[in-house]
Amino acid sequence: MVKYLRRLILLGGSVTFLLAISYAQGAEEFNLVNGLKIIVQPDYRAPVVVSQIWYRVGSAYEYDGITGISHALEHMMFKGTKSTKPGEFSEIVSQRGGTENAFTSTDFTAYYQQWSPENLELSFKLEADRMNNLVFDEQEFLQERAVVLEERSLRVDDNPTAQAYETLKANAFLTSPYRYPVIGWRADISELTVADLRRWYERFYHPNNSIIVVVGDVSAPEVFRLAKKYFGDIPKGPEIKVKSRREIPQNGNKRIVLTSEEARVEHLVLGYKTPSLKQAVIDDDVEEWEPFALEVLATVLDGFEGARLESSVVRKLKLATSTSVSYSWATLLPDLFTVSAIPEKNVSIDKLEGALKKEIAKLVSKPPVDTELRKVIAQTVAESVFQTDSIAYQAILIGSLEAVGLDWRLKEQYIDRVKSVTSEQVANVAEKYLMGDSVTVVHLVPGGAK
Amino acid sequence: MKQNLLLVGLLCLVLFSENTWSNLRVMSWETSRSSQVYFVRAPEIPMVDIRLVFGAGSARDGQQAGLAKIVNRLLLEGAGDLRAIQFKDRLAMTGARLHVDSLREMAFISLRTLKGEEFLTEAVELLALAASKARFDSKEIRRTIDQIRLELRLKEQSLSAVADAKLWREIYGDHPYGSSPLGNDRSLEGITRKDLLEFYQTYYVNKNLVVAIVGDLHESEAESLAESITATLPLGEPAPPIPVVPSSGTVREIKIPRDSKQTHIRLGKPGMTRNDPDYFPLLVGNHVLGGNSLVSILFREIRSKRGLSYSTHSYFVPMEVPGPFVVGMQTESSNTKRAMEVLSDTLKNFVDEGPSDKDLKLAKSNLIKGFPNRIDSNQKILGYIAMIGFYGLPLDYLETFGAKVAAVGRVDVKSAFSRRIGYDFSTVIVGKDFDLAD
Repeated sequence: MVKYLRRLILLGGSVTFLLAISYAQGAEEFNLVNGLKIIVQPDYRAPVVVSQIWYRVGSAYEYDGITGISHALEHMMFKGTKSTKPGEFSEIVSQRGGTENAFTSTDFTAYYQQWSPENLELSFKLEADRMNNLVFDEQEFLQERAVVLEERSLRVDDNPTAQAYETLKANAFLTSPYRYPVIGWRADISELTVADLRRWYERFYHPNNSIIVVVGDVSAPEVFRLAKKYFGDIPKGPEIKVKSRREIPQNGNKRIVLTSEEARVEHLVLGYKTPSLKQAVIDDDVEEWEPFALEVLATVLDGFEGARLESSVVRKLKLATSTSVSYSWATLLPDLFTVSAIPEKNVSIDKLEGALKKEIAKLVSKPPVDTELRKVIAQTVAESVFQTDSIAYQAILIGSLEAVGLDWRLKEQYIDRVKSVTSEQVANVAEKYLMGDSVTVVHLVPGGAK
Repeated sequence: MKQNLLLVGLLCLVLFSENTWSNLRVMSWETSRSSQVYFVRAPEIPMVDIRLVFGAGSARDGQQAGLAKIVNRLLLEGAGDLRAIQFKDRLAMTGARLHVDSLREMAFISLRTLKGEEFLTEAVELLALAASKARFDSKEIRRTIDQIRLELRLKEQSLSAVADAKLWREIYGDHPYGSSPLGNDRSLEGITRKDLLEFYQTYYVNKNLVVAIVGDLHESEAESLAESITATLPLGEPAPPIPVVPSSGTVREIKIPRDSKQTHIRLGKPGMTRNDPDYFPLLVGNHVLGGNSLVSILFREIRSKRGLSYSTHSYFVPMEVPGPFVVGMQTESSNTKRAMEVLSDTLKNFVDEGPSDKDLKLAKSNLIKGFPNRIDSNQKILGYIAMIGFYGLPLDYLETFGAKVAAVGRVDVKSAFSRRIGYDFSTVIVGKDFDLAD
């Protein structure tokens, strides 16, 4: 039901990613001359503050042979600077009652601390230090590389569902870097060197390639003053240019049968290439309303109790035990709209695939009726209020937009954009992106099922 | 200290260190129909969370493992005159979320809704219907059991889930905590509609219920909501006490062969209760050992120093009678022997020596100063008050948390771990069929 961004690697679990407007108004933005952007959203409910720093680098910036380097660098950021020992950062934060961690995705790498507001200054001091003075110790790196390989085994190699999604992306995309797993290919991780990481750090970790987001019990002017104090003197880095590696058009479908000895459950995943708002901004072929129409479409299919896939494919036709849909309107590059299902026993995978495609086609022949659109709006409005319960989530919303070069203020237009989507527009995007033959299908087959 | 208004106009009780904060006022009362209500007013966001917690978890399954789980799931599959899909249609129009879950002791149904009259009334009506007038239509029973069978297979696919389930079984044997809340393929087979109805009528009753409410409501509004939700539930009786945990005999090492890249390791034994006299020494000690994520002893020894695992931790699950103490990690299969040695040396050393002064100070400081992070959202506060109500903890549990942590000394931790934890653990190893003696 809930749309998960599977590409997010987060120490401690995946992040639910439901984009909508923040309830609390009044966020402010401030820019330093070295290019660092700071966004502050006051929220006085509890005496806590979350401070996040986002770097515009992730697996979408990588290339063959060094995949996983952004994520490996994230691990090294806890291994000491010229003035702090390995692990000391975490001790300082812990001692003051902070929770901290970091996450890497296709489009960004982010670090955060959440603690009492009086510690915000320390957050900035520590982050400014590791933005500029990271130490690359060979021994520490080799140790951490082993940890990253363990992480890959845990998250992907021993997780058949994650393997299915990794396989889907790797096969759907030919030229787009979205074909790389965020954590990287095993061989690439194994061959990363400390020199590779240092170069990556020197290229991407600069004030002009980062955004600070602060949400909590703070005042914006005070946050700006502190940001200037700690980050103001860090010199601007060189301008970062990345080749577009635009995905070539897919003509025809791609089908992969993935057999896994450890899988116990058969699974079918369909992936369709779809634009995000980023493409709507830069690409003439994509209308600005399209990403929002795709959001509405995803919700109509699977976004609330009794939505189309559940009521037809699961309940009425009894072809699937469960279904799920995922789409994100805020990715850097065109990503996949996925529709997945677990077949009921004795249901052939072809029959299930046919039924899912029929439901997609029905979005054109029977576009959403008024009640469905009202349900979409009810979900969207409610979710946008519910989200404000978490200050960390409010910050992630702002950071993930800015990290892909979209204005954070867009989050405040989200509800209106969703409300203005018409039934015809949903049918249009269904026809334009989900109806052709250009689908990638992964069929996960349990090999070792007893 | 800066005054903050999590809850407007309520007491600010600062009982411990300067940097902590605990002005959370929990109000509690009994409804006219004998249910306990716990309420925290949170007027900042126009929404309301309500959780109904029944003593109706899998510890009540008897011989029919999975019974409690199926009953709990079916609350959302049709109620009153509404069949499942009609119920879901009405819910979807409100934007509200209804969520059910059942563990070994608690079973609950939670509602999160916007406060506006047009949403709240309808959503609360659906919540009350689900709790008191679930239909148990045969069609939905079959579907729900199929879903649970699927989840059993998905759990088989997860090495950590396999290891955890086996560990509980190994620690508790035939005690009610031993079986998985999902049951098993064989036990699910025998469950009938009559069994489900009987369980529902016995355990989903007012005297076996705690109502937790957090949100943009006045006390009087919360009171009338609680009254209307509980009005149609039978009075019933509280669930009987959970049997004592039999004293453990000799512990074993269980190996489950899997063709996986990693081996998952679990060590465990009965740990502590929610009202345990050793609660704080064990809590603080565990924070030092493996609870305090990036700086615990296990993290240091297993991950930072040796690169043996991505994730390693220890935890207690405090329950009505002692829930388990668990230590876990996962590593490439070829490292298993070494990992087992490091784990057991680290544990033995901790039990023998207790924490160092430095580590103890760090852990206590993190727990005390980090307290606001634990109650920084309505969601988290709801979880805490539901737990306080369910286990009958004092209303000032949150307020006095810091002071009680602060009072724990090195000797208390050492004594508690040597008396309560010791050296003997049930061990579960899931992974390649290797020989540990190699």
